[in-house]
Amino acid sequence: MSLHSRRDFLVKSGLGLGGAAVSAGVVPGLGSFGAAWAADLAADPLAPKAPHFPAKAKSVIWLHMNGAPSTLDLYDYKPELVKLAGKEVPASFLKGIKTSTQGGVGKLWVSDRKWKQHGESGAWFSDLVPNIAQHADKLTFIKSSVTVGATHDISILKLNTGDLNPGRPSLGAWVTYALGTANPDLPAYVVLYNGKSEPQAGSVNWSSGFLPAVYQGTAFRPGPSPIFYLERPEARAEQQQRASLDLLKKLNNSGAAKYPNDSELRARLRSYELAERMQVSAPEAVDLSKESEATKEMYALNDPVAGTYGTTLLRARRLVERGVRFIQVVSGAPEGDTEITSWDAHSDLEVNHGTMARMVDKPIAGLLADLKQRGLLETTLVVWTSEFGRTSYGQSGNGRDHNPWGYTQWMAGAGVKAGFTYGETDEVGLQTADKDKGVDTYDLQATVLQTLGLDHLKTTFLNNGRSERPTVVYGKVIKELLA
Amino acid sequence: MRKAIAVAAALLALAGSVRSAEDELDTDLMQSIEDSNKSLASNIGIKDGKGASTDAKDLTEMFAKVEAFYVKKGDAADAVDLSKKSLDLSGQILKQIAAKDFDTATDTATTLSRTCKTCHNFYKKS
Repeated sequence: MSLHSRRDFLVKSGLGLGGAAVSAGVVPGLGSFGAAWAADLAADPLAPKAPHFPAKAKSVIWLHMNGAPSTLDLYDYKPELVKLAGKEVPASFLKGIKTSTQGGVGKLWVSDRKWKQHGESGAWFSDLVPNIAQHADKLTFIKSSVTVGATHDISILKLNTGDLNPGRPSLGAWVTYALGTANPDLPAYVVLYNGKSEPQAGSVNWSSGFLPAVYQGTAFRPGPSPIFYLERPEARAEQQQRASLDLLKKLNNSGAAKYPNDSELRARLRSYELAERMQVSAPEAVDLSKESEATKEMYALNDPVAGTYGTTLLRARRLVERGVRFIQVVSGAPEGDTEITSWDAHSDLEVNHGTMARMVDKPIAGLLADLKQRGLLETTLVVWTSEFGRTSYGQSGNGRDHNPWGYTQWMAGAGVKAGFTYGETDEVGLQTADKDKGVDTYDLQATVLQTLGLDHLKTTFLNNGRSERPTVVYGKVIKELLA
Repeated sequence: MRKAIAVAAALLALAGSVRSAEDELDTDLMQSIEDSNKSLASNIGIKDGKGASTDAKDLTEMFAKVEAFYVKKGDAADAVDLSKKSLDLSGQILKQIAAKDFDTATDTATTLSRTCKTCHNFYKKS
């Protein structure tokens, strides 16, 4: 098949090339995948690959709450903290932790919250997240999360790549490496964010590290054109672009033949081809004009505070429908708000969390409801995560400091229990109550991989003679979380 | 007189650094443990029995030194327990590698890594 006819084939087949047919069935909204394309993928680093065992999840939506919310003020109700508020932290609660984060240890502090149990599971939610609370029985809470580090960038890196230093692949890159693409017209691994600029911690958090560069995440910026320079300039005719790309491909192929181990060149070659296909598929994937008003309302698109985040999550659902394997969504800031840039509330937690919770609450609830009603929650794992939590003692009088010793994350959907809670923090919510139940970032990653049909111990890559895996030398699948 | 004070100060500083070195585990030893542990995980992963066995033996010797250090230190029961557990796990890994049971060795090596982390995260800061 010539290059030109292959492209024709792609376009004429209406982008219906759901590679997921190979490993995970037919992609919703797409056709099954053609034999010609399958043959073409045989020598392709993004060709779909079989998991180690049958997968429950086809896609993951990784909701990173950037800046670290205080889960003590969202999900982790602590009556004892309310009683002890205003007093020094009893020494027994500080045993075994080093509190050398900014500002030292203040007095125990509570925000002005109202708490209520929801659903048959009876999970506690504060008044900051009334819409997520309606989905209590879909969630599996991890209330004994732990990590390392006291600064955002380092702990965000650990959350995504398993290391405190740059250089290792992110979880999405490992997933793409292990499973390949389920839709050759879109990147298998997409990063979404709301806000004017890319997330502060940067692209190292969706890097392919030592894996071939083709597995890195592709950042979709907000707005109708998700990828910089993807659109053909108006002054350039389609034929001109065609001729230019053909020449570029010829030269790159010549270079690739000389340097077969140059993974960046190969990634570039693929990205040119993918970019051409994405000129059609990417804007379509993020175009919300055909979504109903009811759907837009569900994601709070018309809310001035939640609108941009809601748009991001609606895009995430559309990407799931189109077979994107891993969608990493980094929470930004509400549009037009110049004071609040993330969940990082060292002071004025009421104001910060009031705004940030309003930004994410309705859109996340909308995402869960929408995935459920479309039958996608059965094959999509939603992970609500952050780089760490926040302390039960106060800072600056009305804020909280960083807390890597005990905080809450949750998952919902494919492969995990619904209406379930694993682990707990101590009576004031400062540390995990039982250290053996501590769920580190490696354990979270191992568990996510398990739902995708991947054994984290067998997902390996030989880097300079050393066998590497996503969970470095750690990681334990938390079997109690699995359905 | 000035010379005598300077010599005395230097001796005091030296004595202080020796004393503090005795209180702390040798950082080179801890770095070697970390390196050998990573190498062990890799060698088990690629089923290199000889390499994995060498790493596990090295770890056994090094964890014996760690245990001896904390026993001598006298006020670190948690650290003694964790180093004993690490020593025991290294021994188990040696046997599993000898039996070419690399899957079980991978699990045990992961438990060993978690034990190291437990010690660093909790004991070291208490």
